[in-house]
Amino acid sequence: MRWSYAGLTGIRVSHDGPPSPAVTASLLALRDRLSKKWPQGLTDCVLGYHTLTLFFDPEELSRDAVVAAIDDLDSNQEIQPDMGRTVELPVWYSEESGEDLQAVAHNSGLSMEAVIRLHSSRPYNAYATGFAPGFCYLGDVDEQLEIPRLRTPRRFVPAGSVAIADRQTAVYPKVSPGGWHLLGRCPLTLFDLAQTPPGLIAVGDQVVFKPISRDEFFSLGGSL
Amino acid sequence: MTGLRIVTIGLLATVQDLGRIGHLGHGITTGGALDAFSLRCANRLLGNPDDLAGIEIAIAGMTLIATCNLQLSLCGAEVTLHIDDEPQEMEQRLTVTAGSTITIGRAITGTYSYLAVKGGIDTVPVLGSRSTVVREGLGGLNGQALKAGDLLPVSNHLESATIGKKPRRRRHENIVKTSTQSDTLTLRFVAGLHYDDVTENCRQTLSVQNFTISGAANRMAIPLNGDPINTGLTKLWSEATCLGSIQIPPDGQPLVLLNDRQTMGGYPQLGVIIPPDRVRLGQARAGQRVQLEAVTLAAAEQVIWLHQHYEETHLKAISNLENSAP
Repeated sequence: MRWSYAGLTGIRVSHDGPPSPAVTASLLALRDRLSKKWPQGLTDCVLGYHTLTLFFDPEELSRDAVVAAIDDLDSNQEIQPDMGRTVELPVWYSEESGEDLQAVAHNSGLSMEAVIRLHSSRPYNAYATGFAPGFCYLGDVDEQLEIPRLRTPRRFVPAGSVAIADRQTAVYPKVSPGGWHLLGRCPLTLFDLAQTPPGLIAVGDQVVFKPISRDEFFSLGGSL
Repeated sequence: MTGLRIVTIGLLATVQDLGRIGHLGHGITTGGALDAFSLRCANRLLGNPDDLAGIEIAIAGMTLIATCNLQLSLCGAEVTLHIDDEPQEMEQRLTVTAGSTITIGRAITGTYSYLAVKGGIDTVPVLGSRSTVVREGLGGLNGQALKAGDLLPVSNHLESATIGKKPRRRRHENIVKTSTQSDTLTLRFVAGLHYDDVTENCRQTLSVQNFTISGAANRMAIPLNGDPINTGLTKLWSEATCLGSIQIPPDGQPLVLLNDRQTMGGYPQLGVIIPPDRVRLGQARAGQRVQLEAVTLAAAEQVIWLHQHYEETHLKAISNLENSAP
């Protein structure tokens, strides 16, 4: 683990190795420890795939203090990562609810059933939240399903869309532009400011997709 | 409900305060006035706390009608201001009566002007801020930019006793310095997340050339046009973006990330523009020539300290002047 400056009021801690659930868990543990230490001074802690960026209020906290704390933790303490919760998300996979299901099947040389089975047969690590409020980057998708982003992003991806790109997958919390391939739709509300926390998925969670029928999708509150 | 009714919008006007701080981890960006100092000046002129919401007006002005008696002030990019066809100066406290029309003209220099009202714009705060981020649909009136017909609530409008006074002419000289089009705007930056990962040659291409500000600038980012920057970095894992980051997308044309930026990005971030220069960039116009200059953290901090001192001195002067008013 090493650190560098992220502008004048940020410190970025990064792992040299590739992203993994263990890397996420150790960055989360570091985040929790430091945000408990400085509840006022640290304004934002943002996890990336292999980084934790800490933004601080220079009136409350000095850069040197943050750096010293990171050095101290790094050399003296073994952080015991706490593996996150498992979150199950129902998904109605179909051509009707996932416009690109057939194209993904074609691209991978698999049947649509096989694509659904592969996508829903493993837990995904929630690496990071970004792009839009509550949009969680999940991975890693089975390499047989690996596919580059759309050449031209869609202007409107429907809320709840379950999508893949490269070896990542995600659920679009609300209507937004997007360049990922759509496989299906989740009927649940992924992001709600009235809830604490607002996101259904948090970084560090393990996410499992459970195939459901069209009827189940609507009975769970889904809409097209 | 009374306040300000929007009659026309020139280009873009949004409700902004000092931003939505502390939610980047949920993917929620900060938003907030691009030129926070100008909003703070406008608030100080009215005796408001600095963080009350005002209207940020981009370049092409707007027209409003006061539906109650209120006090207002206008700071930032230089514009013409009329209350019921009578010209008024910026940077002063103005009292307007219910039914008055407030006409803000096209910006003469700069891009963003700030209209503040006594008591502040009182739309519903979201996560502690009224700042509008249109992309996220948060803040302002229903998460949207202002449009004709909107009625913006004002939290404490004036009692009739204070009406009828002539506006006091108290101009605060040189609150905002806006660079002119003919200058080359120098943007100082400190090393960014990936500065150490690129070649010396690549760093040179960032600093030796002049860029021009693209017409595609918005509250998310300002694209700079110039000779393409080749970072040689292709596969990066997405991570946090910084306010003011110089991000290099695959086409090699730098993007300077502003208040409404996405909270995560997967492109190289070579530098972070220091805050005073970022605000100057935000106020500059398409076609403006800019040059990037690398500075050390220590040098940057000295500049920032002096700049903050300058701003605080001005803000205090406004407060003292307003408090000493009869």
